[in-house]
Amino acid sequence: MTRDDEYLSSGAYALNAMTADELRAFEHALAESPELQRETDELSATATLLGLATAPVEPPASLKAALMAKLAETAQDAAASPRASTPPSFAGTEHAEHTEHTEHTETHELSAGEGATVPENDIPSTPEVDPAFADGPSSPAVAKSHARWFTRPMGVLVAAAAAVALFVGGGVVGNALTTSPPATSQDASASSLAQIFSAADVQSTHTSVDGGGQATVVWSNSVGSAAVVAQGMPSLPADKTYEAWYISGSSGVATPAGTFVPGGDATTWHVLSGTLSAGDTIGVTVEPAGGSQTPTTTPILAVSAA
Amino acid sequence: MLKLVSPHIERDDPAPEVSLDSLLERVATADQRAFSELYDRVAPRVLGLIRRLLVDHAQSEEVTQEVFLEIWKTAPRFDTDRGAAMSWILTMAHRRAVDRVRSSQSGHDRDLKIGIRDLEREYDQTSETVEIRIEHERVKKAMGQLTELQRQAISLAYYGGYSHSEIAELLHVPIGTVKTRLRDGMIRLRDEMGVTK
Repeated sequence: MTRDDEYLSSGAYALNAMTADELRAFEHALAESPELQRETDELSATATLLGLATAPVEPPASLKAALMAKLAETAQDAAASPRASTPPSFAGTEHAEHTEHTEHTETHELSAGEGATVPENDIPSTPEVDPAFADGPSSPAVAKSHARWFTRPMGVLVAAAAAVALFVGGGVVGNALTTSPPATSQDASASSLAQIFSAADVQSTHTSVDGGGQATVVWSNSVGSAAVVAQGMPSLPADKTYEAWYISGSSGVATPAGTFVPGGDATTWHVLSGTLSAGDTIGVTVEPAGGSQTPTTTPILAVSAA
Repeated sequence: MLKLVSPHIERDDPAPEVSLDSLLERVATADQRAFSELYDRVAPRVLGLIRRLLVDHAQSEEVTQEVFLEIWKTAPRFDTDRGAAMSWILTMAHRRAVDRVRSSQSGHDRDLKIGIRDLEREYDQTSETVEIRIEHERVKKAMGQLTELQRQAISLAYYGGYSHSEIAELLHVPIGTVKTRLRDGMIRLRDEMGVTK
């Protein structure tokens, strides 16, 4: 392309009327000409006004619900660092960006990111790091690489922890359980928790726990699942464990829903195993280590999931 | 940073205290509440634009969801120095819609009328806030300052999702002519609407 051709294309670029090949050449030219960049920015802003002139359409509520449910599984990119000329795939840069990102996090108490030593290795390997447009909306080529957003275990945990923070506030530790289960079960737990939080019919009740500590019980009848988010529940002797139950509203029968070990002052959660039925009461008892098939003690926490 | 003339251009809501830019910055820190608020504020605009190109409602909702996931994912890359949040979001929405329209329909299959459909007709059926109406009137007035050929080319490209080569083919003119019409027309619109850097 000659220089004139490039200038001639600024309108087409702003209107997304170029083909992928032309786009590449044009963006290359953009990076080299501040003047062309300026014109293109202005014409792109003008195109935005064309977009704002279309009639708004109210999306159905289901769209937002589905979207919010996907957030937990969708990892975010590392922050752009326009001044860095080193591709972010370099470990050093990556670390720096991660640090910066963490510092900017408003919810400092969210220590999930810190507890997680899994590197922010989410940067696509495609050469999309040209600083000239790394900070703008993705070009179609870049968008294609973004389209491959993949789930990253830490992304799930961080998002679930953020969801907990949203609901119950306070310091949240990203560990789903402190019993160090395999990573996969932790991820599944975080993902299930996020699913409950993002359900349209999510409900929660905050209560104090007999024997010490606070708990927020969160449930969704549409998801058919509940979680106990605990804080300050005391540690138990080695021969005892906390166990959660679904207690049927009609028959009064208690179904075991998993044992768990709370994290003391840190906020941790337990997503109940099994399925929540409407009208169930969610309960927690102290049981002999290994758990019981039916409760052997009086519940220290019982919340009716109306 | 680009300044759009109307200071309220990004606001549909009567009293949003927080700017979209700052919401987007919070989204960049994985703040789901900020994302939820951002969604509530801009989703009707995003869906409105996408449906304008795709027409099909189910597909438009799909693409809208893709756009918002991309917003979530790439928010950490958003740089307020380069442009306003609304511009960033709508550009992304437009690109996604164009990608979809080009991959799902060949240029010949697409109805030429989609691209040149009158803005006015669509608006008569829609209730909207005074602000949106004003924005719309402003664009309409500016579009009125273009030559018929410029207006046609820009409408086909932006609202129809046609590439310049497709437009050249549709209108039986050389591609350079189309590029010139698009650029001259966009510069005229920019000046009419007072978009400056």
